Amino acid sequence: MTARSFDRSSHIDSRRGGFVLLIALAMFSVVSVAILALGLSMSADARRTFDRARRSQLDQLLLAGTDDARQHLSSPHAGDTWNTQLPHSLSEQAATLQSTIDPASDPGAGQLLLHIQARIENRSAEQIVRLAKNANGWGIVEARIPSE
Amino acid sequence: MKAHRSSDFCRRSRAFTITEMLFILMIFGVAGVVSMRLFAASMRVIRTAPDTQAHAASIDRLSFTLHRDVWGAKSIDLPDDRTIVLSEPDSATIRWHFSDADVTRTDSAGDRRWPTDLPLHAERRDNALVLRISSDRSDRDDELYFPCQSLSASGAHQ
Repeated sequence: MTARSFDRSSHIDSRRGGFVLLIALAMFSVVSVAILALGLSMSADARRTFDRARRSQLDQLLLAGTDDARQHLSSPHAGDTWNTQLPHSLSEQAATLQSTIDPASDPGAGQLLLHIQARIENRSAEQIVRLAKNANGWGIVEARIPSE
Repeated sequence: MKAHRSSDFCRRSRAFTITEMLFILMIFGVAGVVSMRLFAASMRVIRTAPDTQAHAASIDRLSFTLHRDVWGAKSIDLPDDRTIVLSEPDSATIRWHFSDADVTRTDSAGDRRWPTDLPLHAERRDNALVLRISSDRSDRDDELYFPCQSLSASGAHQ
């Protein structure tokens, strides 16, 4: 092999190496972007799943709060507030369930507004329940979740 | 004799055998197929990720409103699995309809729409409404659970 032909061969080899490196870098960047997009999508999915689970727990607490409140309403007074005792597994998560009879309510007239607030860690939910006295005690007339 | 062997070795080392060539071609072929599939999958993920997030956000927004509607409803009726009719305590009626292009909520104030092309189906389960979201990414439907306070308190079951 002469010196000239060696030079040409090494020049072709280096050009081919550059092309392969370019293709490899392009492929690497495309795959990196895809992995990043997949990671973001998965973390958003995980966050959404956690939020849904938390919201379901809060819903169940609000439902439990209504049941518990009806047992507390033997002699209700406007402004009364009580906390419902929760199972240990929920207390460990700093969960609370508080019910308050609206101060403007007049339980003596057979109707009252009850605010029930559930909280787990830093998430909370609230509902307002309108109750009316009937033959079986207090029955729900209306329940609504206030606008945030 | 020694010179003859040396020239034979040089001649052999200058070229590849057919077996070596076929082996290399096979490796290049496999590498090419793998890289093309990886490229196609990567491009699909990059292309669909924003759409998936937009759909999820749309479902989150509509589920927030549906949650409030179902929570206070006096009754939940399902004329078919893509229509929900909710009777509110003030005798108002709220109608939800899931079409292939969007979700429409109709009440006395008018219509509200959420664009989504995900197939949504509703079903009644005990005192709650369940929204099933079919997805081609998973073999299992996603389910959203919306409890109803009034029906739960009265102990009504379908």
